[in-house]
Amino acid sequence: MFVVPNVAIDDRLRAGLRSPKVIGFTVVLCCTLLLRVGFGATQPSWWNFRVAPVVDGFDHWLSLHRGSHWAFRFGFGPMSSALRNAVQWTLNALRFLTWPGLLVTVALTALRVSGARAAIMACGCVFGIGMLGLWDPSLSTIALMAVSVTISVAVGIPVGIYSAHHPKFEAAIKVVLDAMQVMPAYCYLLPCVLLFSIGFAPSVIATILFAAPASIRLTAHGIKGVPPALMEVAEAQGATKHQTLLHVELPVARPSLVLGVNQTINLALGIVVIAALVGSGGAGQNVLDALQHLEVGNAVNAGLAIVAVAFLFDRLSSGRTMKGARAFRATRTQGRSVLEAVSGVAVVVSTVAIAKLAGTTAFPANWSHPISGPIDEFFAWISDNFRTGVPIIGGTKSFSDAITLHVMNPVRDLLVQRAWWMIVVAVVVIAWLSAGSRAAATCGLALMVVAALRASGGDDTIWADTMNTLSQVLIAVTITALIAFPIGIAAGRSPRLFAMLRPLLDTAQVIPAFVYLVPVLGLFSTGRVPGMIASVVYGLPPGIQLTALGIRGVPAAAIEAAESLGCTRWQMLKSVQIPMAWRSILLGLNQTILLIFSVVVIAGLVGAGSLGLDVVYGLTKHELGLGVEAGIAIVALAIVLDRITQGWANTFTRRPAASH
Amino acid sequence: METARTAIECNGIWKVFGPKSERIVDSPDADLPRSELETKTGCVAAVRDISFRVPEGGVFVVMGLSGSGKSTLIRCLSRLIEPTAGTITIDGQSVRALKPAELRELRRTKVSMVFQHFGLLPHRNALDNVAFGLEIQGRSKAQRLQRSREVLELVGLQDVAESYPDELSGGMQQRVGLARALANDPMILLFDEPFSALDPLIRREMQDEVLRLQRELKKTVVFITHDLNEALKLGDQIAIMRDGRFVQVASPDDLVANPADDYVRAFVQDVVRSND
Repeated sequence: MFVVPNVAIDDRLRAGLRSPKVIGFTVVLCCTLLLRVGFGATQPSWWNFRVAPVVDGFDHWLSLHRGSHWAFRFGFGPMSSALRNAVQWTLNALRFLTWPGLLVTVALTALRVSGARAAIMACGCVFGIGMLGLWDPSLSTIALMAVSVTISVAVGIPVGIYSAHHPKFEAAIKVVLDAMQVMPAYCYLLPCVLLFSIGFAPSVIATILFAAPASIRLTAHGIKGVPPALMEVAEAQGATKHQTLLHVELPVARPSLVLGVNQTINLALGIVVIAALVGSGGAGQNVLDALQHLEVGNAVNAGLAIVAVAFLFDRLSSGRTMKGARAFRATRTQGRSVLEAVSGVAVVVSTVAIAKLAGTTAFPANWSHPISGPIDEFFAWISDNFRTGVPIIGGTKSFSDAITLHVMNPVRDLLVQRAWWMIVVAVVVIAWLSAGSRAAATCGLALMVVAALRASGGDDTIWADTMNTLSQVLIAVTITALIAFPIGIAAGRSPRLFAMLRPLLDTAQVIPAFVYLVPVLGLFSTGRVPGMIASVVYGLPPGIQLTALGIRGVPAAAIEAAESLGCTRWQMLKSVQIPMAWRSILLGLNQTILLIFSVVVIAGLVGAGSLGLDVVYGLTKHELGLGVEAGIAIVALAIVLDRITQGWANTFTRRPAASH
Repeated sequence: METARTAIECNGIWKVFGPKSERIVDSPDADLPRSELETKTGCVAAVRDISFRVPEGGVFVVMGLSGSGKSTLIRCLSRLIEPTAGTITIDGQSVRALKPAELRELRRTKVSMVFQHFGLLPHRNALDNVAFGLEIQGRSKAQRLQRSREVLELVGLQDVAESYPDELSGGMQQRVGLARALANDPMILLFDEPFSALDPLIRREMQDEVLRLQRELKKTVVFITHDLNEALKLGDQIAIMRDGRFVQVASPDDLVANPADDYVRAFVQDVVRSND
């Protein structure tokens, strides 16, 4: 070794003390000491935000003053009844159409908006709903959807346009939208119930809050994506701002706008089902009842009806491909449009008239064949034959028990039995290493908030439930990543496999998370395992798709260069494709984790317990205080997971050289 | 030519990007090289003290390499980029004094622009792209379609009127761009490197097209290019631009015969050689 002069050591020491690592270590150490000494080994009783008592007190006050206070008499009250009426009128209109009238309306609308294939699919969906014997509940789901989506889009598109034109406004709402995106659908219901009581109104409001951000984001994204060159052309032609918006920005951004509407619909459907928890009725109620009574057949039946509703809206909103749209427009003349509109209305009116004369309104009951019976038999057969005692693999129950015993319990205990301050410190350190000091501070604060929730008095239920939920998420994410990553890479490298998987992946992402619980429940009964498996199944499609898209996004020039150097397939994968796609793969992981998290929470319904169950309990048993505390913990956990994994995309990939 | 009316007259145009840009104008700092000015003041002077005059029906070509400020200059003429200082007179109107509505009117009726990137709207077919300017003026549908067909015919595209931009070749797209600029029968056409993105053969064809239209329609043209051959072929007057200033303004013959400095000489030599 060299003998280094003392001066140099001094300098190095001083520089070292100022290095981020040392500062970070010191800060964390101080925080740890503060927590350990200041707060103690268990959460101190004074570190309690008393959220539950405050919420319950507010709820009590509301139940006394709902009729008299000005905010309710002139604000929430009229709003609530307006929304309720809107849904009710839509429902009445749908009923008035009668089922043949509705079928014809759907067919013609789909034909006009999205083309013949979409029209056939949409009609299939309408028939499907009828055949499943859930005509009436599905109509009310459709009505709820129609009102929520219309309002979401009517609000989302103008706000999106405004935010695209006003960067300051956009920066401001981005914070809100980000927060809204990490929150699982569940959490939106609680405050809505508090303000709007139960029924259609809180469901509509919660749905709008959950779904409108997609519309805002994609509209803003589309408008901002309009090439500046085209904006300049409009300006050079002397277009006013209004003309530029109408003739340049909106048409060019159209695909993004349509995608926004489509996504809004998908998100809305997810929450409309959950909204059955607050008494919105509809097909969601059927799923919920069946889940809570473990009637797998009924749950599958109602789940399929919801999938049919999902596809119905999806087909109606997906629009035409660019090519199809051009061919369609080439055939348009003004006379023809008028003729089509008139004859369309005539067809609907006459269909409705004939149906009324014939006395039909709802889908004929003797045509419907609910599939609950066969499904029940199927799962009964499965549980008779595969529950236990299958050679080698053991059977579903044995599998489920084994997973619970050997994987889920150890991980849960690891988290739950650790002192709370250790968890906080560990998370802060992980967040710091993943995403830097700000993320560490955010995550630390989030967990400190969780630690201050004490729903049922002195004990630490919320904290324990949070750790329980976290353990389920961690296991589900690990399994999902282990499956999705190889499949995604394979699909990214093989265009044929990608083309084969694509429709499957797209379809899987239209189906609401809720529905995934049903078949898993049939196989594995209740408990934490079915919830975890459902969340894995739900997380797989986006995980696979985003990995595959990342691999496919590697520039062809880089592949060609590697090939010309004589890379083997493995070398290509290891040294070119994965490193270049790593960033988008990690971003995909971030999204997948949030999706998985939302299902784990929902799985609280089927015996996964923990935070999800607390929310459901709060909603259904009107223990809003407990529900709100659990909701806050869910949001906090979502923020922690989001911040940490968002950081990975930047920390664990080499940053692109700064452009300035 | 000398007796013709003045279509465009510019005096002392400056465009400085950056904070407190108006302080740079005519200050000693303005003479600093680009990077020194930027480190000292945070400003970039793209156009420095440019004056010129284009008679009605004249073709004024501005030639310069990329970064010389020529695209900024042409955008200052119709205030797509707001100049920092100077006066611009178009057809006797002081452009910088115009209110927003008057400026729009100027752009709608007197000044049209053809862009390097074509700038066609992807969701409209060729005919509707040409009709765009007329639509903005609020002309009736019948009127604008009739006029657009006429102009498309003028540029030889009557057969592809229903085609969308992505179905047309680069040359055809720029013909649509040209037709769109001609549709509202402007007095002045501004060309911002319109043919740089085209193949050499197509480029020559388009240059001939511009010369033909110029002979037939007698528009006043300001043409930006980085190709001296193009400049010599099209221009009545050629300005060589470098670092935001005009190095020399001369007729094509004069430019080749008497280059003002080594910079211009280097260019011209190249042309002389390639013409041998």
